[in-house]
Amino acid sequence: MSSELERYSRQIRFSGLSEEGQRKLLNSRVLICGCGALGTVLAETLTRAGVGYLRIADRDFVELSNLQRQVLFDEEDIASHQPKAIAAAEKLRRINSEITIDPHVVDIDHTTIRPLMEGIDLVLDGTDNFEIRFLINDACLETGTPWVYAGVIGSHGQTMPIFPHESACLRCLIGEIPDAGSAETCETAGVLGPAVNVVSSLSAVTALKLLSGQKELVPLKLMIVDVWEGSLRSMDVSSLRDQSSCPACQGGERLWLSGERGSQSTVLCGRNSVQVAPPHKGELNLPELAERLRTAGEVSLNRYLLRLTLRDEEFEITVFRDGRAIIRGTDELATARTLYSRYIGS
Amino acid sequence: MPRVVFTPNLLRHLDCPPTRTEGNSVREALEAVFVQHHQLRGYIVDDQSHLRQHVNIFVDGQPVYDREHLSDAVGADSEIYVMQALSGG
Repeated sequence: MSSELERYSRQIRFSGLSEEGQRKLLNSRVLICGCGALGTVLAETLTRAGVGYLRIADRDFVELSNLQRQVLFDEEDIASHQPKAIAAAEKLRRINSEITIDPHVVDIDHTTIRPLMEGIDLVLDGTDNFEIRFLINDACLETGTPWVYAGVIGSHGQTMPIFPHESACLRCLIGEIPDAGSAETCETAGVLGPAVNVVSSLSAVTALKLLSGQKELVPLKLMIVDVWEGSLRSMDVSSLRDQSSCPACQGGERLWLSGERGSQSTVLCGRNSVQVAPPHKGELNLPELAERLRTAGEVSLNRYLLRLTLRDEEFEITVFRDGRAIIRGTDELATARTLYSRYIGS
Repeated sequence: MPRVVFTPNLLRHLDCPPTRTEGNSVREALEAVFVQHHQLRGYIVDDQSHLRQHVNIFVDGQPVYDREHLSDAVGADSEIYVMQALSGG
């Protein structure tokens, strides 16, 4: 074994990978969308494994509540107000200086995703909202790029490989984004680090198989894990594409990539506020949402709107019944979208 | 009797523990559960009783074919798993 491969010697000795597989990893290019809990574990795992080029895209900055599970960050990153992509890149370069880390501080939307995917062999899902996942799905269908869906809430997580035009896509699995406010987020239901680690590791194994040229070893399964319950379910999705009549992968619909769907955000001039509209209109159940948000701060409610004053941050979120929200305390679109995803949902 | 299991992120706000229930199809089994846990209905099916778009159901690890009528057969030892995609990460 050549000296350049010495750092990978333990995984090269694993018969499933071998030196040939390692060389393929070193020649691979991966985009990690989102560098939070899932994204940091994915990035660290692939960096240590010797994936040759990692592009990391994230719109957020490091906060104290991230440190419990976002393995690449520390208190110094908070003190220096580091964007996550930049902080992650610094850590990853210290772990492995022989690969290329390409961080992008960017809000992933229909205008930015195409350039982010240029020259990429595989996209990994490290996001925290449905809107970007459906956008990734569209973009990967359009470019024929494989991707791995992953999601986690509480002690529970899911992951599924997606081979465009061959296997079920995300919209074959779930046809629509849940109505705003109807699904849990990590802010409302919490999240355990071990759940993130397990789901990320399952995604990373899929990546290692694919990038080492062993696509045939990737099972077409939706893996569902609950680390608190101690359960691991394996759902067969090999027939799902054929039985779904999916408008995206069979009908060619690209609602998110075209920009037809996706949050509309507007800075409200002079108010230090941003208005965020959900991807599609729906009727929010405000009392139910209020119950879920009580742990996050002070909640007040009337027939028309709900107001949340966050306990630990200087933001106030006012949500209307149609899902529209005005977020006070920022004039940054990305910050407002992040808060909306966190507390109201995608 | 088939066993109906709901995704854990539903369990946090609704009373829906894994339940053994009567039924020869997914529809029959779910209707039996809805009788005891009526709040679940709105989360799983729409006003036309079709499976909601953001929900999927697997019977013994296989996706259901009939999302409208939920007529897929279930056996006495089947597990009906009701899943919802997760937003977090």
